[in-house]
Amino acid sequence: MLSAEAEKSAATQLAAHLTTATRWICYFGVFLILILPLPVLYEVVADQFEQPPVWVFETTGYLIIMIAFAASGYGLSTGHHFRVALLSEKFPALAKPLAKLSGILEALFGLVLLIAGVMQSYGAFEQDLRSDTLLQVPQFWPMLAFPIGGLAIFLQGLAHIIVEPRTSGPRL
Amino acid sequence: MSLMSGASFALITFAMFALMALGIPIFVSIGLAAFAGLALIFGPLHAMVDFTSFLWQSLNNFELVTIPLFVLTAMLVEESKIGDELFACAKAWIGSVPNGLGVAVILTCAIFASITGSSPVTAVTVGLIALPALAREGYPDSLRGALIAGGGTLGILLPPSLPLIIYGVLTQTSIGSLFMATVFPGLLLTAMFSIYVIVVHRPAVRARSHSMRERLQALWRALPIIVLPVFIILSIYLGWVTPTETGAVAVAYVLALGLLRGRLDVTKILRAGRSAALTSAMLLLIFGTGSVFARYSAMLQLPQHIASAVGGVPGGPLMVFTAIVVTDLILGTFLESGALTILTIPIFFPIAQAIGLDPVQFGVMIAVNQEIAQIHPPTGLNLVTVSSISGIPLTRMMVSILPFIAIELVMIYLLYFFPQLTLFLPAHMSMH
Repeated sequence: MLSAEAEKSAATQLAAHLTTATRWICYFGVFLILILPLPVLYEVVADQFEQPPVWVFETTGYLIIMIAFAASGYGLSTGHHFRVALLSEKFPALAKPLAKLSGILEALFGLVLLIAGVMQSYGAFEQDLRSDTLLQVPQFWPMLAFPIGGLAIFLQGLAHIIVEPRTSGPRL
Repeated sequence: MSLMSGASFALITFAMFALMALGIPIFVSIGLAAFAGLALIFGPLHAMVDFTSFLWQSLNNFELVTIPLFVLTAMLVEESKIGDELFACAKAWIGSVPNGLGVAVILTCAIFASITGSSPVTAVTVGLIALPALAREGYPDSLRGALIAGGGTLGILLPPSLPLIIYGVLTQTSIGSLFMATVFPGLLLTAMFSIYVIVVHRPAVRARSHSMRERLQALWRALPIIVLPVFIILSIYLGWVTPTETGAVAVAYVLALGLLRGRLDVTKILRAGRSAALTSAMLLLIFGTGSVFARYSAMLQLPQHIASAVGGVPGGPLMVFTAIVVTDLILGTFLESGALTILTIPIFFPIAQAIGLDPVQFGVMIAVNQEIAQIHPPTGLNLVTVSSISGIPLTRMMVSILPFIAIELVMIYLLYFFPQLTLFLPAHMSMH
């Protein structure tokens, strides 16, 4: 039998591992946002030579979807996702139960997105859906952003159920 | 719309706002509400297919690429601390006029806003530099906080305004035209804020006068930064590049400037990338889930029903417009500007069209209205931000911020009665 203290410590460790997982998923988004200007700059230059590239329009669209979902889960732990903190600030006694509720709903939303995303990308894979552009990109690749984001949000939601999340607002 | 679907929409909308009020992240609140609404119409399994399908359609949009690019620019600017030179330059040139340092803050905010497109980033960056300087010159806490919070709101209006990018994508209005339309109102608002600070506020505080040599030196150091907003506005106006391409050029420019001045290194660039990814994710997810919610309300033909009902409202277009302003202000006190745009524009836009407002003109008026929401007591985001970085209690800023709110309200109605203030530049730009 684990003591209450050991149980709490194990739970905190588990939550920390879950947050680490979402942080690594977020790093993928960080990498993508740092390279995002490159294709657009290439387009600016190519336009000057009247040879606009056909692939920039499409690929940057996929990139931002991946950025949005890859960074979504970790943003819940860093306080980047906007939330109205008025109630928990005015009534501190409610802060803990509200944080738990938030964790549960984050996990629920993540689960919905994960299942729906798997269904969508598997459907695209099975039907060999491709973009109707010259590139003919298999759509299941960029559509993987949804299950990846869903997983990150689900894991972070679980971490928040286990330990109380930060509730500070975003910086933007 | 049947009574049943109307009741379910009302219930879903109420649940969404209730979740937000309970402190659930905005995108989770909107996303769950939108999913529940779709599930009520189609059943859970079909709703899952539609949910991701609508999400995909709304986010797979080249114009949205503008958002992460300008957010990355803002984060690089913040990391490279190039706001210091900007404030020093404004202080050298106008610090010696009555309350000149206050005017310098407003001008620095305006230039900074024209680079970052974000109101709180402007408030934080300029605030960290200017708040101690204002305190040294004897500006009271209440005015210091109000100056930064009020000046910071220019970030929502002046190009590259992030809420206006979202508005443009939602309403299929040219983002370039929207950016151009904000130039006159933005400059006018900057002038009105400055005049208020110089003329109305007493006692007047004067900083020490700078010699012409000092002024020119300060200008020389700040020139590479001042050039950037001028480039952003001119390049779009003259049709050299699209707003999205301007974002990429701005990233490259700030990166080069930061590296050349030794203000950026790999760690700072990675930190800027991390902040930009997290902030962009927040904005794009609110946009994505909000778009799904908007599709759900469109399925019930709600915007059309509201727009047709508005036709019979007594008082005419001005009354209807005032109702929009008031509703937007109330909601904006609690909601982030991106979320506010997403949730309200699908409803307000058809109404605005029904009362004869131009989409570009309406977009700019909504942006000014959201500026007010950012400083509206008690929870305006800029007020909270300034309070958290300065330690000035919110209650101390509540009265001193009121003149800024009054000026912005005057601006909204100026834009309503004089549409040329917004429509002149877009009508004369080279590329739409």
